[in-house]
Amino acid sequence: MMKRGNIILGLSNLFKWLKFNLNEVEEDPDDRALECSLIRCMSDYRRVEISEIRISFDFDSRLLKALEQIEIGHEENSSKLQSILKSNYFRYSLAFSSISLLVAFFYINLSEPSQNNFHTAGSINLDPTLVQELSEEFQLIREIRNSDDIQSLKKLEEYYITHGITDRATRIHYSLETISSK
Amino acid sequence: MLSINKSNTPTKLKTMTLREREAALLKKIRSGDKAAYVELVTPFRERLIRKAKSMVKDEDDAEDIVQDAFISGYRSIHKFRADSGIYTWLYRIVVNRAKDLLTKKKKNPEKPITEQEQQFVDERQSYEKKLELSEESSYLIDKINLLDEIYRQVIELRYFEEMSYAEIAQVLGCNQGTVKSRLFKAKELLKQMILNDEKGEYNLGTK
Repeated sequence: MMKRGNIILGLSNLFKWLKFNLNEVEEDPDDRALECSLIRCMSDYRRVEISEIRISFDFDSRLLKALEQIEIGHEENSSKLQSILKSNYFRYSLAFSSISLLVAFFYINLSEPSQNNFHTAGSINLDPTLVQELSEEFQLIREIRNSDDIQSLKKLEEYYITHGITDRATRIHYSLETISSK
Repeated sequence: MLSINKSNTPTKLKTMTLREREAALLKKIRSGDKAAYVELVTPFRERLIRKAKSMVKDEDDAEDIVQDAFISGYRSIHKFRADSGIYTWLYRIVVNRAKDLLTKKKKNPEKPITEQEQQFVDERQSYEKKLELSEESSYLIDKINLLDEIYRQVIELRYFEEMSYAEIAQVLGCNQGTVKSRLFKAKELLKQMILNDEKGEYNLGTK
């Protein structure tokens, strides 16, 4: 009896989900009420939250001062860049990232080979999107290690920029600048 | 010395859409106009500091995170692709920086706060906020806080940050289909919680 109830509930949710994704206009009044409530609530909450924020009076001047030190496209490329390359720090960090990703990748795949969409390792549930991101990053790092191709390095830089990991993107950018200046 | 004179903003910029304005400012920034960058990011300061503060629980740290994120964003601005909004891009940088700081703090705790103390501070702040919110908002926020993290996230990004499905997908690093289904599930869970609650009908305004 319970099982049949669950199936009916599941089907009803599936039907609603399909309607939602196909943008059918016919809306449940409860859904509409919830939507309006969420908009009102979050607008109210945003007002309270933002009104509490106190920004230092010198925030903009500090920012401008910091920006003055930076030249777009030629970002402090000489000394910092040289030290990065000479110390091999960049190479080590790439090697470390690739090993970590390799371990994570195999651990994820070996722990639950029967499930393609949702990986379970012990009590840890891994989001498939995280797995996909790690695989993508790992693939890009592997490409660089297998071929000294500048394009692969550029792809990895793009990947870090689009994912907001700007520190790594900047380090790769420095390296690319040095390579191109040689 | 650079200075920002907001009254000098050309009339043309004022009448543009947000995206057009961003594109125009990006053009200026790429030609070396640093004040244009400050003009570009200024409208997002408060919201980004709020986000950082919600993660690191310290306003000074939050401000530093946003300051660093702006500087870091400027360094990579030449690579910024206009297909995602500036806010979404900066939001991701801020979230990553806040996560980095939390990791650092876990490794090197300066002034260890017990879980009980932290819980007390959180509860007091939450109580103070509730006093300023309407009854409906306070009720709904309580329900949202009962959701799992992945559902709270999409609700926050969609309704608090007012992001599009595409922008949410970028922030979360997943596809739009996943965003839609998570949002759908989040709202279904919320609806069930509210309807199971005696106060639900009243608070949803469906009486």
